[in-house]
Amino acid sequence: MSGFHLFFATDIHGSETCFRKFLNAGLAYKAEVIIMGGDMTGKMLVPLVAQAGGKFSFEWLGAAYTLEEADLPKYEKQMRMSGCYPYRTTAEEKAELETDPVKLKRLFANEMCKTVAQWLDLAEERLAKTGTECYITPGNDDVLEIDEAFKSSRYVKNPEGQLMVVKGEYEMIASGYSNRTPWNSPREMDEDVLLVHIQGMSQRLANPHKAIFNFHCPPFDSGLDTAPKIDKTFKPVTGITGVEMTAVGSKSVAQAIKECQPLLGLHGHVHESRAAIKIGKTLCINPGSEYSEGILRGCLIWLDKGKVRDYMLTCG
Amino acid sequence: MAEKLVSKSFFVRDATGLVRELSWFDTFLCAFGILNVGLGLVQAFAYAPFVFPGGNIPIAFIIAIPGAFFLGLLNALFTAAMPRSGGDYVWVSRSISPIFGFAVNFFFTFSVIAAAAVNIWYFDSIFLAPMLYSFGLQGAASWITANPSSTLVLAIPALGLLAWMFSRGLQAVKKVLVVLFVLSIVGTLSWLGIMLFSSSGSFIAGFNAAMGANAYQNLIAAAKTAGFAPDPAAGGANTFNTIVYAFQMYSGFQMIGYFAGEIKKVQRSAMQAIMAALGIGAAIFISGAFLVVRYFGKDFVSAVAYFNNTAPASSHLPLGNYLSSMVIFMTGNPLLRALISLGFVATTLWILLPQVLIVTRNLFAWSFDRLIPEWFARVNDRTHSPVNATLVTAGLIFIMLIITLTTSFWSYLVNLAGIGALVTIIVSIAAIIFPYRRKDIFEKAPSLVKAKLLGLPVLTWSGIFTMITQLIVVAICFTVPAIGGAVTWTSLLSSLSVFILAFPLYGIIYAINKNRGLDPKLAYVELPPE
Repeated sequence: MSGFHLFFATDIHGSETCFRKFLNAGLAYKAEVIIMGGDMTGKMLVPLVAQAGGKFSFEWLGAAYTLEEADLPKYEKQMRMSGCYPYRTTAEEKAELETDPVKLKRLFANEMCKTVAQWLDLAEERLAKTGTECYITPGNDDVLEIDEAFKSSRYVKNPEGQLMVVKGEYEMIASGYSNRTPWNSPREMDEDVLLVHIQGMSQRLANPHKAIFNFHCPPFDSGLDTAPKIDKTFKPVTGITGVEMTAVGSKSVAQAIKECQPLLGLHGHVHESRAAIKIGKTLCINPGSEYSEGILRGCLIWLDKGKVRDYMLTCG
Repeated sequence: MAEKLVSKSFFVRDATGLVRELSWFDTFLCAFGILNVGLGLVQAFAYAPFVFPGGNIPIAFIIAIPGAFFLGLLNALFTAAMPRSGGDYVWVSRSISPIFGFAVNFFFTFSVIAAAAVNIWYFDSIFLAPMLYSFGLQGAASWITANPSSTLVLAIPALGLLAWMFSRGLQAVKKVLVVLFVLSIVGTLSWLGIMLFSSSGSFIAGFNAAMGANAYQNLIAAAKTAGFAPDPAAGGANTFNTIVYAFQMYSGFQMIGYFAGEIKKVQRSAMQAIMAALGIGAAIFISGAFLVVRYFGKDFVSAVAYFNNTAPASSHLPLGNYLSSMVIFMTGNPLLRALISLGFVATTLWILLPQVLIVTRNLFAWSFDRLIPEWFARVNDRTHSPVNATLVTAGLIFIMLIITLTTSFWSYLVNLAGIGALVTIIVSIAAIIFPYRRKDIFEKAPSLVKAKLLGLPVLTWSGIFTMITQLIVVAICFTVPAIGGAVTWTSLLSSLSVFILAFPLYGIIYAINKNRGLDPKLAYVELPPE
């Protein structure tokens, strides 16, 4: 077989199950390059509140538990595998977290940084001997603090804002930043700023038509970016046609793809918009995400002689 | 925003995709959009009184509720367990195998194409004539009623218009849907309103005034003379058997549960949405069916259905043998006549547009999975509409319409309801075994999904009861020749052919894809989570 296989997955949102599957994808799919497209950190933190007598109380998947400390690791593992951060605390601290958003934000950041650092170590431990190239870009939901963990990783590359060469042959530019969202997530830019950010990278490409655009945010109105429309209270807008859907992608990303016509566009961000489409000559893919069920949605791409020889959306 | 989502049991940070639960009113709106009371009642009363003479249709709608409840429960629990998966295609793929998932989806797509063809036929042959009549175009109405081939003639511009509308983009389709919805609701409410606020006597008087003295009684007598003789002893059994039609009317309510958020608690909305849709739908259909029987009279609707299915011209009704055609006898008010007849036309189109959308979306999904060429998923650069998929869909509907009108194909299909039930049995098997075959997903599901009853997961129970219900439907469909013709090996194989065809087709596509490049089996390789 000439060329090589590239595996792309995205939006695992703290699911350790999905991250471990991602690391194993290289072997399972015979992929020499694995790329994670962003949003690797979780959204939820589960407090395990200390009670009298050394027990801890918590709620998990709709059920209430009060358990001995020795029984906690099993549930903590379940939480981590599902994308949640278990956090042992006291009733006093929990009450404080409920009323102090700054403290809660700091706690989230700590837990995320700790987990990302552990994951990057795990990646090195699993992949270093295989020679698999591994790229992970933080996405718009990932706090800026986790970038430090990438800087200290000797193996995993964070290509944010950079031009990297995959397998010594394919130029790749990448960004996890998105256009503005109603959630005001950590990595967002106005469209005009995002365009400048992208153009800053694309102008450095030697051969744009053979490049990979690894942008977390999908191109606007492309079919890769269809999400439920929400109102000001974050409630989905419904009508006689059911839940209304709308395009939420980036116009800057769309413009960059139309202008440069790269070989491949790798995107995520909108979990329910799993699709593969052509924009001009560019194959753009959003593999979607089902992280909460522990399913790693991805895309396996066979690159050969500067072309996409074949691709396949996967569900592992 | 985060504060709104904070629960006592967990903290949530600001992150994209976190949304709030749908309210009851939102759910009601979604549910109401799916119901098609007017068309549903017209369809049920056009066939059920003939196929199951003497059966009580309103009671059948009540008897069908438990079966529909378990199907709804199955859908709600699967949706809560796999909210992003998008329906039975993936549920069956994961529980049983991808090839069965494809076969189920292939059959479902075929059913939707067939149903769309029938809707066009209804539109042209049943609803258009009363509307033209009500608008004073009696000549055109008579031409349509007298010429069955007019359906094909009218279908060409209708499908062309449909394809053009979709090529303008989904926003354009949505605007049309809103207009159709309003017309449909106004028409249906007017129709039901007349039945609610007028007496049976007023209908009989209106009918006799238009058709001649004692025409109402004569029509009933003519049906009896022609051979329509319900066996009073079979009334109970026929009422039970009529649940086949009730299930058809109820179907669709479960689909609104597909939307659910990512936080486990929010997934309760799937259950609420589905059960609310079932409750609202059942209440409206049962009330509507009672109204129809009270207003038109059971003997009259039975006689009309008898002629409709045996010798349509013998009834001498000017606009056909359907309840919708009776509008000209229900009121002398031209505005009301126009609103009701326009409402029926709008209702048919209101269903047709989503059917086209479902087929194009499935073509897209198959294209993404490399089951069909990516040409199908190409979108127009300017309107971002799926032009190729839409044209193919319109073409397939037209071909199915030709087959429906010019061959006895449908009689070989025995009844799509029967085969549909067989396919639903596969989905129910997926639900029964899911907790055991896919422990990895089941264990992560919300407690709602993992709840047990007598030692078995509720999802498994819902699968068992759905399977029993669907087996009853299959038994009825395959033992009552009036539903779709006599059951022979030829008819049985013809019926199953669509489902069976999916298997070799999948094999051929698999071989082509494997030959081209990546091994298709990798698409579903279970990656080790350790």
